[in-house]
Amino acid sequence: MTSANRAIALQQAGTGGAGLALVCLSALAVALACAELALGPVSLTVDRVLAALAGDGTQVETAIVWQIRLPRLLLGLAVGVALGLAGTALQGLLRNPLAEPGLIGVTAGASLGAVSVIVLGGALTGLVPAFVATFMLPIGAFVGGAIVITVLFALALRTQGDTTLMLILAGVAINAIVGAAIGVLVYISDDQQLRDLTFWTMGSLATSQKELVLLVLALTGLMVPVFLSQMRALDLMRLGERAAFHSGLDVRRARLIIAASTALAVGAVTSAAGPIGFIGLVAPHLARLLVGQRHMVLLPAAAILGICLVLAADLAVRLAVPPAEPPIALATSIIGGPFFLWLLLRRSKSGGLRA
Amino acid sequence: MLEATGITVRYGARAVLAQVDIAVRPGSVVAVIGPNGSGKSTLLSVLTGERPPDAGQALMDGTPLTQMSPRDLAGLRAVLEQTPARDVPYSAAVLATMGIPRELSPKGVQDAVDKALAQVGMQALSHTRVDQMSGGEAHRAHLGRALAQLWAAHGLGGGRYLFLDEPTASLDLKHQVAVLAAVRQAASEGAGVMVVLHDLSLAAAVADHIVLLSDGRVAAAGTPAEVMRPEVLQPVYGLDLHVVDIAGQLTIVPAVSAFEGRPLTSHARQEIEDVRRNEPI
Repeated sequence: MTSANRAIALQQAGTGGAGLALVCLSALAVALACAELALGPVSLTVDRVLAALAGDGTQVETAIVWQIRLPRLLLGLAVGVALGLAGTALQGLLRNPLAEPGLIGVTAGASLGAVSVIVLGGALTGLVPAFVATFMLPIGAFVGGAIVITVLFALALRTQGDTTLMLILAGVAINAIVGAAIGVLVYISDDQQLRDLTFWTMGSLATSQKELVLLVLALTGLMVPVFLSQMRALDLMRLGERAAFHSGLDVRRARLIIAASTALAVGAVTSAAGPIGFIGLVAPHLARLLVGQRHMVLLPAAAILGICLVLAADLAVRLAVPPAEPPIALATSIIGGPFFLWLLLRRSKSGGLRA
Repeated sequence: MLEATGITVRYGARAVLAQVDIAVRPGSVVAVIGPNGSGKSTLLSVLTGERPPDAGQALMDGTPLTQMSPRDLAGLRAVLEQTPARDVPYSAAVLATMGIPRELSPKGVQDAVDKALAQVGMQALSHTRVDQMSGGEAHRAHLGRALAQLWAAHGLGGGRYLFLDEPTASLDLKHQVAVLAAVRQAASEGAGVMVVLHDLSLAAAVADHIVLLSDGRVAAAGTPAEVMRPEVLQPVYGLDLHVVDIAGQLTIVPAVSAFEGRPLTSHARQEIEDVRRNEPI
C-alpha cells in the first residue's frame, strides 16, 4: 500500500468492514419495505405492488398501496431514520450511551407540544391558512422537544462525572410532568380532540394525513445531511468537550446544531406517528456492534437500522392478529425494554458502560 | 510569540489569577510551577484560548486569542489537558488523526501520526483501543494526539505552540523521560512549549524559562538557576527543601525536617551548603 493509501486508510480507521455491513443492512431495509407494501390483511405479490404503484393495478390494489401502505411506509422510513440519527447524536452529545429520546423525555416533550396544538391550537386554526395549520403540529412538537433537550443539557452540564442516573431520573420527572400536563389537556378536550389525543399516546404509523407524512418525510430528509455534517464533531465529543475544542471544534456551535437537529427530527416524526420508544436506543447500539464507533459509518448504519426496526415492528403488529392492529409502540417496547435492562445490567457489572 | 500581560481571572470575588505576565517564545520551553491551587491550570486554559481572561490580554503571534476561532487556534497550537478522557472507543492511531486539520495531505497526516506515536512509544499499541489501555498508556495516547496535531499543523506552517498540563503525572520514569524528550524536540523544531509541572527537578531539567506561581501571582520568573533556589521556593511551598546540583542538574527535594513538620535549623542549612560546595556527586 502506498503511503497516501495508508494515510486515507488511517483517516477512515475504525470503519473497516463497515461497507459490507451497510450494504447488507440496506438490502434488509429494502426487503422490509417491499414486505410493508405487500403484506397485510390483503396480501399482494411484489409484481402486483409494482403494477399498483405504476397505476396499472386494480382499483382495490391501487387504493391499498397508494392510500394505505405507501404513506405508512414513507412515515416508517422517516421515523426510522429520524430516531436512529437522533438517538446516535443524543448519545454522542450527552456522552452517554443510555440517552434515548423516549427515555429521557424528549419524545414526551414533543408529544406534549403536539397535543397542545391539537387541543389549544383550535383557537388559532381559524386565524391561519390551512397549510400553516399542517405545520403547527410539527412546530409544536419541535418546540416541546427543544425545551426538554435544553433542560436536560443544562442538567447534564452541571453534573460531575457519570450522567446516567441524572438523565434517567430527569427522564422520569419529565415524563411525569408531561403525563400530568397531557392529563389536563385530556380533561379539557372535546370528543374529536380526545380521539386525536389517544392516537398520540399509542404511537402508530397509520395516518390519514398524507400532507403531514410528506412534510415529515421532507423535514427528516433535510435533517440527514445536517446530522452527517456533524460526524467529526460527534467523534471529537467522545474525547470530552475540552479536547474537542483543543482539536479545533466549535463546541458551542456543534452542540447547538446537534441539539436543534435532534429536537427537530424527533418533533417531526412524533407529530405524525406519536411517541415510539426505544428505536433511538436499540438502533445506535446494534449499529455500534456492526460498524464500530466512527460516526462516519455509525450515523448511516443507525439510520438504516432504525428503518429496519420500525418496519419490522410495524409488520409484526399488523400481522400478529389481523385485521386488528396493536400500536407499534407495543412492539418496540417489548423489544426495547429488555434491551435497556440488559444495558443497565452490563453497566452495573462493568462499573462503566462501554458505548 | 505568545505574549500575555495582566491576565486576571476571577471565580466570583476570588481572583484565581492576578496580573500575570508570561511569554512563550517559539523554540523554547517555559515551565509553570507552583503549589496546588496557585492558578497553573487556569493560566493554561487562558493561554490555550479556552477561557477569556476577566482582564488582561493574550496575543498569539500578534492576534488576540479572543479573536481566533477554535479552528484557527487548533492550527497554531496543540494541548494536552490534565485528565484526558479514558473511555474513548478509538485506537491510538485513530485518536491521533482526530485533531488533524482537514486540509492536510494524506502523506502529511501519515507522517504526523507516525512521528507522534513514535515519540510517545505507542507504535505497538497504535491499534489498541484507548478504553482498553492502562491509565498511563491512555495518557500517552492523548499526548500522541496533541503531538500529531502539532506536527500536522507544523506541516501547514502553523503548529507553533504546545501546551501540556502535568504530562508526566501518571507516567513511570521511562515515559516521563520520553515525554520530556518530545517536549525538547518540539522546541528544537521551533515550537514554543508551555508545560505545567509539579516535579520541580523535571521542570529544572526541561525548561529554558520557569514561571513560579503563588496564589495567582507570579512569585518568580527566570532561568532554572534563578528560580530554583531555596529562598525563592521555600516561602511559596511553605516548607524546607534542598536544591542540589547533581552533575550540573538542579535537583529539588524536600528536607527530611519538612516531613516531620520541623523548620530547617540554620545548622542543617549550613551542612547542606557545605555538601553542595564540597562534594561533586
